[in-house]
Amino acid sequence: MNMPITAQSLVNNVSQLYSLPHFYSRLNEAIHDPFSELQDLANILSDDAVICARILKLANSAMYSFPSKIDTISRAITIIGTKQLGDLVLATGVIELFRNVPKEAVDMDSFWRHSIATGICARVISTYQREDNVERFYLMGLLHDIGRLIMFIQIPEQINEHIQFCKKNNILLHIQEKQGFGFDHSDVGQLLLKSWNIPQSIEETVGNQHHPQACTKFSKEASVIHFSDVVANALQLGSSGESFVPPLNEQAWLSLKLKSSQIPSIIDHIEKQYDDVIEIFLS
Amino acid sequence: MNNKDTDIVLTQEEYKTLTDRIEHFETLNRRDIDALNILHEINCILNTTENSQDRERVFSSLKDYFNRLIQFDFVAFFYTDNEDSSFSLADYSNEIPKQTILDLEQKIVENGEFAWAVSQNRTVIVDHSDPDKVILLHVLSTKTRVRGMFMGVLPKTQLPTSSCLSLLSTFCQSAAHLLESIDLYSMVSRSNHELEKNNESLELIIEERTQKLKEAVANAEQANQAKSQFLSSMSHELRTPLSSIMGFTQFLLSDSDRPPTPHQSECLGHILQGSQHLLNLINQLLDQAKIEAGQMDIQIQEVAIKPVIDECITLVQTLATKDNILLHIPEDMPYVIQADRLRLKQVLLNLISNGIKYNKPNGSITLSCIEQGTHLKINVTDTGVGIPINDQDKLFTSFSRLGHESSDIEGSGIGLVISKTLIEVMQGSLGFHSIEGEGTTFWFELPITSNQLN
Repeated sequence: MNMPITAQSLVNNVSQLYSLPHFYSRLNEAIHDPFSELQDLANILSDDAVICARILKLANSAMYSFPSKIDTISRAITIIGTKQLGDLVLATGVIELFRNVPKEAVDMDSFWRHSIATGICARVISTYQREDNVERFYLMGLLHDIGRLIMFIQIPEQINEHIQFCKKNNILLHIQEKQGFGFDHSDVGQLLLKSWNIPQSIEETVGNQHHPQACTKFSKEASVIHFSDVVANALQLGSSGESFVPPLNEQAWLSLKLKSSQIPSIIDHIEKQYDDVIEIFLS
Repeated sequence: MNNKDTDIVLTQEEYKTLTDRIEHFETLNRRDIDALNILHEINCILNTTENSQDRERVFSSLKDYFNRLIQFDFVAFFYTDNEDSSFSLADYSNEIPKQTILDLEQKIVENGEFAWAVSQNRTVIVDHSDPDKVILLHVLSTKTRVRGMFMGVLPKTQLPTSSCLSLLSTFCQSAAHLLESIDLYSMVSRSNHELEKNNESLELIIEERTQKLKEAVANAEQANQAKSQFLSSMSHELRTPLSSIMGFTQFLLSDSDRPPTPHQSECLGHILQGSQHLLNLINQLLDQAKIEAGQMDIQIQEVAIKPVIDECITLVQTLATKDNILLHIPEDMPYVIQADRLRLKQVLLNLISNGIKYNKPNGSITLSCIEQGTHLKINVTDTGVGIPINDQDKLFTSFSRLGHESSDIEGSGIGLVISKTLIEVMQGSLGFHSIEGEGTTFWFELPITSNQLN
């Protein structure tokens, strides 16, 4: 007898395979430890050569456009900021975590391209809004479709059927998911992030990305991610399975308090950073 | 008795680690309490902006606060100019020569680190030319506007922990809000001041104009009174000699001892007729003068309309017969109205005689009464030439005769004006409607008492 698929069962099945490296929690603890100093963080980072190299490359990338070259990890931390470092490390770590997903299940390159584009867009917008931790927004964008990835891994046939059905019938994928499974990728994503114990703001934002107003505590964040998802789909920078550009929620757009005249410069910023960041994360 | 808890025995080293940690915690605790106090103080300054804060004093306090949080070698604050968004040195640690700070600023501006720090809403740590030191930069910015930049230099070994940097960010944000509120306050008080000045000058202008207007009104009133006085005295002066002219003419006409020859009688008749006309005009002028002077004496009483109309008809019958104008009077007019009998008759006479004067040959005049609620409406309809649409609004203007000035028809051009005023004084209204070429109906309404003669 087949058990019905639930969002929780999907997450439970992968929780062993895709758990967050201990490294991340160690770094996070250090970041929030009132005694830890910059050098302590640098020491922890140095334990993982791959992540270390990525962070260094990022600090020197168009994402920061820092005026001079940064050649040590402790210098990179001063550029990125300590609070921001944790989110950035998590972002690199997650991509690393799913590096060995079989190619037949999902086009990982395209998936991450869409996620990174959404993250960059969210980061650019939050820079405009002078948020203190813009990496948090990058991370939210990067993780917004992580639930879809779990679905690709666990139930590849079903999800691909839905994608084909959506293409034929002009339906948004997340609506079709809800129709077919009773839940959509944002529910799966939220549960996965919850099992990883990562900050509530990220988890709730991912869970409410398709209806930002429903999220009372983080509706600003959810609105940014919703808008960024629309932009990334519109620019066709990669795809996480969605074939159409989702309609922009008017409430969400108004809450961003952006002028439409700012959109060209936002897109300009995204394009400037996109190639650099793709190169660093996906190489 | 044995204590249930096992006694913990610490090695010397463990003991040392623990006491160090406790000491460290205490230091942290003190720092956090101090930070809270500072934030409270900043908040206090924020809340007292009604006594306008001067920026220098605020920067001097901020300098003290930031040094209390982190042991800097020296600090500097840059202030953003509202006009051109340029940064200028606002305050700095006094023990350092100003030039040292300016050189440092120039260096980080030139290598782009300053601009970079402006774009980040957090602490930015950049290299110092002395490899043992670092520079902390933090923009002073609200969500909407960059207000300045904080710069602090300290030994590399003294780099603050991330929790301390978070506090620094909070300080910088509060400082930005403080600077913003000072700016806003000075902006508001400046524009208030301008508004006040504008108000004052506006008040002056208004006062001046009011004064002029008062003078103009007084002048106009005086002129009007002078005119009324002139009219009334002139009318009086004219009436007295006219009375003797008319009296003696009538005496000559009726002198049975020496009756005038037929030719003399005819001449005397002309004199009498001309004098009568002149008297009418003078009476009208006198009425208007009285009305304008507010001296019109009106005595409202119950007046049966029928006898008044009959009297009027008797008076105008000769005139109507002469021009062959037919008068249609309703048989049944059982109405009693509220009016001054004499003035009512004057109005009726004016309207009927106008109807005769401006009628077509062989025309007619029709009188009718209609009860309209609390009022009785009396229409006087002629079959005359009518009043051109363009002239209708000038009808009730004194001395306007609408093109009849040089015609044969006698008139002063104030009869209608007086009639209208009289009716209005008697709580009624007077108006007309006219079709050019077909005739005119003048009507007036007065309060009705009953429709039955007692």
